[in-house]
Amino acid sequence: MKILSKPEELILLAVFSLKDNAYGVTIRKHIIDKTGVDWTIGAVYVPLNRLARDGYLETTIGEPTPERGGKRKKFYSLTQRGMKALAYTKRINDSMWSRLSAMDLAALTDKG
Amino acid sequence: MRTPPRFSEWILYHFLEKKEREFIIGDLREVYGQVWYSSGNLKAKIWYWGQIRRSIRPFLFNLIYWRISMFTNYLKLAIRHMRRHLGYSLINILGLAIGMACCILIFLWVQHELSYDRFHEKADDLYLITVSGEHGTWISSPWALVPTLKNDFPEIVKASWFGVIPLLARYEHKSFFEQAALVGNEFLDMFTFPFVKGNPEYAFENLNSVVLTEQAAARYFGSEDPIGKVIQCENQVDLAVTGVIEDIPSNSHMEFDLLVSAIRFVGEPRTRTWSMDVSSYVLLPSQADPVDVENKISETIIKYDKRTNVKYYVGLFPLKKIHLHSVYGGIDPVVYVYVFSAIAVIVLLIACINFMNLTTARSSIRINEIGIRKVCGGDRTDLIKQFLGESVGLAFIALIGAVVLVYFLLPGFNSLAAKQLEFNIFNNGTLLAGLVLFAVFVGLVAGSYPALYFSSFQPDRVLKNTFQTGSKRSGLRKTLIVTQFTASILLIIATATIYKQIQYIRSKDLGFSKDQILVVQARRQLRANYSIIKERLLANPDVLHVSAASSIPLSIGNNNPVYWEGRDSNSYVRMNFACVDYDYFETFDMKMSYGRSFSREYPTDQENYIINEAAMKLTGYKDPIGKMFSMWKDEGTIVGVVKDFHGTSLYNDIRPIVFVMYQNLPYSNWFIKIRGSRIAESMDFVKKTIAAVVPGYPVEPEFLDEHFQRQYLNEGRLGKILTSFTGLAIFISCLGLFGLVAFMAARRSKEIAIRKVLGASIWSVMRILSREFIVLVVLANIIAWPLGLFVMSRWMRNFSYHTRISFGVFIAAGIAALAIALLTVSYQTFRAATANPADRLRNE
Repeated sequence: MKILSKPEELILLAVFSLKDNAYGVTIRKHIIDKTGVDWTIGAVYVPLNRLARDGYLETTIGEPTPERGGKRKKFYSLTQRGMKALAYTKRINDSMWSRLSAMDLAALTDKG
Repeated sequence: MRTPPRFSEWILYHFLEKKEREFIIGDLREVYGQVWYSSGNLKAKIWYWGQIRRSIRPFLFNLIYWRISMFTNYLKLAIRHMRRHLGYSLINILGLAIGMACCILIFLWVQHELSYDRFHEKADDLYLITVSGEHGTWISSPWALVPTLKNDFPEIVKASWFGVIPLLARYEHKSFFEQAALVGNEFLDMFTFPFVKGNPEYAFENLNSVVLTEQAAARYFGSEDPIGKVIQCENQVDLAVTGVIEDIPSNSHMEFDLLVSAIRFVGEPRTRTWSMDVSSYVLLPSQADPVDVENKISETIIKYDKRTNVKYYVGLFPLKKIHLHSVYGGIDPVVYVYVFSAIAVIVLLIACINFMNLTTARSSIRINEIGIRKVCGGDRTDLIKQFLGESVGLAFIALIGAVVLVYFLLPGFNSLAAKQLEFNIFNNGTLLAGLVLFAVFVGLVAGSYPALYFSSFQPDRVLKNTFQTGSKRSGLRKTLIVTQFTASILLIIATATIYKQIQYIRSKDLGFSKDQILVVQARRQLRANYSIIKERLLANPDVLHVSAASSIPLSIGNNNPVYWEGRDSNSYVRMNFACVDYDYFETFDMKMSYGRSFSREYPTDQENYIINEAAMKLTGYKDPIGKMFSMWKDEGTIVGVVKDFHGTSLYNDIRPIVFVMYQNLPYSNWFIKIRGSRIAESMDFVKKTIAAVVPGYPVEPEFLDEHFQRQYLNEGRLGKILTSFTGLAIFISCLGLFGLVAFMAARRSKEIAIRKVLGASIWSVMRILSREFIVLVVLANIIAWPLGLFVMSRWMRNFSYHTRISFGVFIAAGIAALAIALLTVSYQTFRAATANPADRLRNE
């Protein structure tokens, strides 16, 4: 089982949340909102593409719209494999984070 | 303006993967619109550029990573493919490697030939002086021309003589014959011969100087410093060594061991004469137009030489053309360059055609792979790239094989071509780069047809197994085989014909006897003692004749103006002549058709002439004996007419020749005819006799026919080289045929099995399989014969004397090709025919 890199993990989660509306623009916006970091297009699209190519995501091609200058959209959705990878990630996360209680973290952020 | 600036989009476009471009650009337009809407035009632009700048790195890396993984994927496929069909792959690679090795060898040779004399810094502006008259062009020019040209024409920047004479040089107890070049003072300024010791500027300050090559210096001085030491020449002249130059590179048309001052050796007055004796070179300014200058200097001889009403025109011949182009006419050696380049291309072509044939013939094996690939979304260009990649890869492996082959073949090739070519890929960066490019080129060319062929399959038909390797395709493949064999047959014909011509030349009756005749090159000391030595030699019963002449019978080249009674006084005729001693004609067994040969019974023979039949025709004398004849104002009578013999090489017609007996002119060639038995003793006797009279003279008598063989060395080499390459071409063609037949047989194995079950004999199965190919070979013959006839007859025209182009050669070539093809085919067909039919049919 592959351990997802952080961007990959975030992207997969974003795709999951966005359900039918997961494409480049929305995925990026979602991640920027949630992390507070201004991700460049490269930082999003490159892992996104790789995930699709490796089979964690599948793509659907949409209709062209005028605001996009007549270009079509590519929608992404999770595959079985993608879901499995997320489940695996969650399991690892849970098991590794379990020691760190919410109180420890709160103490740190106050001081830092 | 809601769309991002065109330029920035264009930049982004090129960093993105082809497939993703549309979507990402579209996404960005959307976002751009939003940003523009909220923050205005300028901010939007800044944002866009910022995104591009920060994203270049990830996109770029992604692109590279992706390309590399595609590449390794293809590589894995290619390797797996090669493993599965090791036999075919090896044949392919072998064929390509041989073809490439040939090309490389020929390339090295051509490169050397083209590089002659380029090492001189001023090579572009150096010219050889030619003198043209009614009867041809010569490279001999008058001594006085060099100073005159320099005086009269500012366009001539520098000028020098260059004449090589054999010189006996001695230092302490070491003495050798050296090739000494008589040169003018400006020679070292014009030509680039780097000095290892000494200074070129002062080399000939003192006329009693000599400059040695490194090799020559080593001969006399070993590792001592030669500067300032004195060498004695011809036992008379003392010269001080003023410099040592690097050994002359192999690609120089000028060869010599020493440089001496012409003025010192020839004398100042002589350099003002207008007799044609020496070669001259001139240096023009860089921007000069040679045609222009040539026009200006053209009439110089006519202007100054008042001796005869001669019409000699001075011409310029560029230095760089000297090696490959003939001044006189006859074949330009550059033709050989073209011929060999053509051969290289032909051989490479045959190898590439092989490759194409073998690769496409295996199509049915790869069809499935291709079909699936296409269905999964492989577009045609990707497929083409894959196949091209494979063929380039194979070409690289072939390159390695070719390099190994070249290393092994180079010594043999060098001796064949009489050169010392080097092939050093480790030292020579450009060579290495060139080889790599060569491999890529070959891979692309050879792989182009298979790539297009394979990528044009239609996936659905392929997978449903309704695909057939159409007859259109096999038509093309057949054409390729025909081309290969046509080329091979042409080469066979060419080789055989050229060999016949060489044999003919070697064995042709020259009109005089050249067997058992020793030639001794006589230098000054020896010449003076001719009569004594002749007497002593003749005392030995094994010595049949002794005579001498100014030139060897096959190299009668010098000519002089001649007159005879009734000659049209306005026309101006020169004839070749030879100064001969008594017994000349007897020594060579030349028969007289009229009159007699020179004889001691007639003391006036010193002023008489003997001419050959061609000369007699020219004079128009019906009965020439007793008629007047004169050469150079010396009047005399004709006492004999000798039957025509070849006075120059067999390239030329028999020319008119005049024989005289000027006793004052020293004979530089002595001829000693000895008996056929006890040759070794006779040679010994000759050497001892000469040594007794002139001690310390290095005598090396050579047999006349050995000397003649050397004249036709070039043709002999051509023959050998052609044979080698013909053999190669045939080998490669057979390789191709071999692989192809194997494949065809395998493909038709079911058909064969069924036939056998139905009772066909081995023989009839073989016949059926071979029939296709035999037809092709016959077709190749039909094409090759007229082509061969055409090319060979054009080549033969260069020789005034040549054999007929015999049909036997063509037929033999055709049969040979057929036989070889049959042999190649038969192995595979036999195997196919004797295979157990049950095995084949079982796979159903």
